[in-house]
Amino acid sequence: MNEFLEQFLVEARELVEQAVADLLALEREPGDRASLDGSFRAFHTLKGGAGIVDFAAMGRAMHAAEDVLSMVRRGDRAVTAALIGDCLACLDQVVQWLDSIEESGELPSGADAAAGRLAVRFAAGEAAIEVAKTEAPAVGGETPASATASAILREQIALLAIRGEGLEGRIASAGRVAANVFRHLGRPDVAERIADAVTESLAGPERESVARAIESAMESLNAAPAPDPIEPVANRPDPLSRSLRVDAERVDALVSLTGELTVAKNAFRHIAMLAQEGDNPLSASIGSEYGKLDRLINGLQRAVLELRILPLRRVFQRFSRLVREMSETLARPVRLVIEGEETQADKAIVEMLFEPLLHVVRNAMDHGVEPSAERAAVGKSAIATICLRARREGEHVVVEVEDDGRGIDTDRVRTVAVERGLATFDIVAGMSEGAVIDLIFMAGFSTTTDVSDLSGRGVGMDAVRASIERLGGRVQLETRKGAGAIVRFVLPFSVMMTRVMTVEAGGQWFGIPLDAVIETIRVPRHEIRSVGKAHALVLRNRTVPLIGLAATLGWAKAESSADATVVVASSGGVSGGLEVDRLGARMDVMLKPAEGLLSGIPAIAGTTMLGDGGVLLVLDVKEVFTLTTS
Amino acid sequence: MVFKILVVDDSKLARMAVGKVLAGLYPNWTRVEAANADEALAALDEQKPDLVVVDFNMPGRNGLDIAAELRRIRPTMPVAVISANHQQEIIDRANAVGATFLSKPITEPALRDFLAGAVRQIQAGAK
Repeated sequence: MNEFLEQFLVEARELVEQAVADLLALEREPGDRASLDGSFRAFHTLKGGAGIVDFAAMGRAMHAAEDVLSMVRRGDRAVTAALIGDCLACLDQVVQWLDSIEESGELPSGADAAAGRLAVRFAAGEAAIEVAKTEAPAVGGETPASATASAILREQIALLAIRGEGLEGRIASAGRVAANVFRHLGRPDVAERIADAVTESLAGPERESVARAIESAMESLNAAPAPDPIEPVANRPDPLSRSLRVDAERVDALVSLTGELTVAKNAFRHIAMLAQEGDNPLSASIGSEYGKLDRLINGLQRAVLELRILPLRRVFQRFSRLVREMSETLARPVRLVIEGEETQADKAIVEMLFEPLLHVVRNAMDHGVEPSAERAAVGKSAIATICLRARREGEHVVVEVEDDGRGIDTDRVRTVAVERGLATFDIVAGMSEGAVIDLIFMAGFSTTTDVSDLSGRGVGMDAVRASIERLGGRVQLETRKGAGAIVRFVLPFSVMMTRVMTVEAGGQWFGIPLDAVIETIRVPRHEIRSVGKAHALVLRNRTVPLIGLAATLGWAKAESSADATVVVASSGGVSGGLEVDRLGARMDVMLKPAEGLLSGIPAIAGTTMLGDGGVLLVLDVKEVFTLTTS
Repeated sequence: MVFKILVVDDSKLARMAVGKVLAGLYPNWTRVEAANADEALAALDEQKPDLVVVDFNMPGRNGLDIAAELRRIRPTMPVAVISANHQQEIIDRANAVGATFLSKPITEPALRDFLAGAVRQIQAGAK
């Protein structure tokens, strides 16, 4: 990435942040000249920056926003929620573009369409104002959006009517704009037809086909049912996942390949050891090459894991708009303060953090923040503050949601816990405040008497805790009665993903860390030898101890089939075969130390939550082998 | 002749863009940068630039105010005001304080014309 693009990213992020703050301030106080000028200036500077790095599409979108704000400055338009929403949507798009530039180091492709949609959206806002002003019904029964679309399309036809130099450029440009308009109107089929006409027109002597295609499409537009209204902001596709999807796949592919490489390396280590034992003349060089490979692959693994590190801004940025929307829905004025958004964390955490954070922020808005009147009565400022904060503490990343609402009423928590049958009156009466607050994390606990739109029902803090623990973190809750609450997630900085192979033995699925697996084989039963009480098999002229996994771990033994399915594994200098009933899939998991009942089971390295909520036990291969030999 | 030019813009990216064009035209010139009015006035005092390019759109005091102030202190110093808003009003106001209006994004021919004119003006004044 060149230095200009790098500087552009830095400045544009700051400007977006400033513009969001100014727009939200402007919405609170529509007469505030400073925030109006500030937001105008931010869009203006964003446009300038886009011009410097040759990002024309973004320049156009910024120009549209700037125009609208310029009208507000002249007094030609009023500040409305829709106008602020349009501007914020525009900034959302900018953030997506910036993310894409940051990931790929290049200007995003396909930005024209998005910029076109924004321009149409702003134009539609203007058209709606015009229609409202004249109090006339929309022309020819068209909705404002399609009136604007028609106007834009007529302009393209006029553009195409100009002959002479540059016609090819005009055909391409008009065709692109027209296709974008139809795409926006939910008619990708028509957009395709126009694109075809452009190709045809540019290739041959036929110069009229684009204008004709647009004209005929316009006729069908007027005849067609009204297009869908512009989607509300909240229903637009999630910008985070959209901009990340490609990148995530690439990184995951790299992580997965690195995992496979580690497995191959481990098999190689095994061979290096065999070579040494067999007095092979090449053993010294094999050994030293293995050493090199080992260092390189470990380095690669670290580098690949670094790729997965992202700033928490990715998650935080989405809350500006969400809090604004919630604030509107609840009619509770709330100011969102974001701190430490540059703090970095593993991609898995950044991606998974949104849901639990959203839940906590909703809780704060719904239960924490009091209605304005109640705040005024206790002498608090009418506008509540919710702070979203992140910081690095050693090997941990701490993420907090703090509100200045009423705090948690522990007496109420006690009552509810008793009502819901989570504990008896005597027990809760004797509980410390801390223990009472812990009750909130119990399944089935919810302090709202009514089902609210925001917090919903059924998903409570227990779900939040479960998802944070799945990430290897923990949740803390601090509350000051009447002064607010802090929900704190303490998360690991790096999430070590362990690649495991799943196997079934005795009706139970286990994970075997892939870096311990050398190979999987099927062995006819008659080739398995008994050595006293133990079993062994001969593998490439070496006798390898064979262990029945289910029996060793105390699970019921499955019926023996004709062939034995064996996983040959090696860990900590101990190797052998593990007989299993069935081989499963390979997967990346986040290991959690075994707790509670599971901690009593020998040879379990840890557990991991499966997608379906089930728990997979991951084996400590070395301990499995040691168990049987001792 | 080698000159010292002061570039005033709150966006570092924009300053970099001016710097790039300038480096192509006059690689030997010294470039001094300022991000706002206060920095610009301090630089005027400490660095004694020969000419100034200032962005119109900035928080706090805008580029026209800065240009007017700079011209008041140094009446013969060539000053250009850069703006993406190509409004006659801004052009007129720039001319009124004796500054040259340049439209944004800054292009090499526009900057070259201004700089060549400025060089002639400074040399004529020095004689």
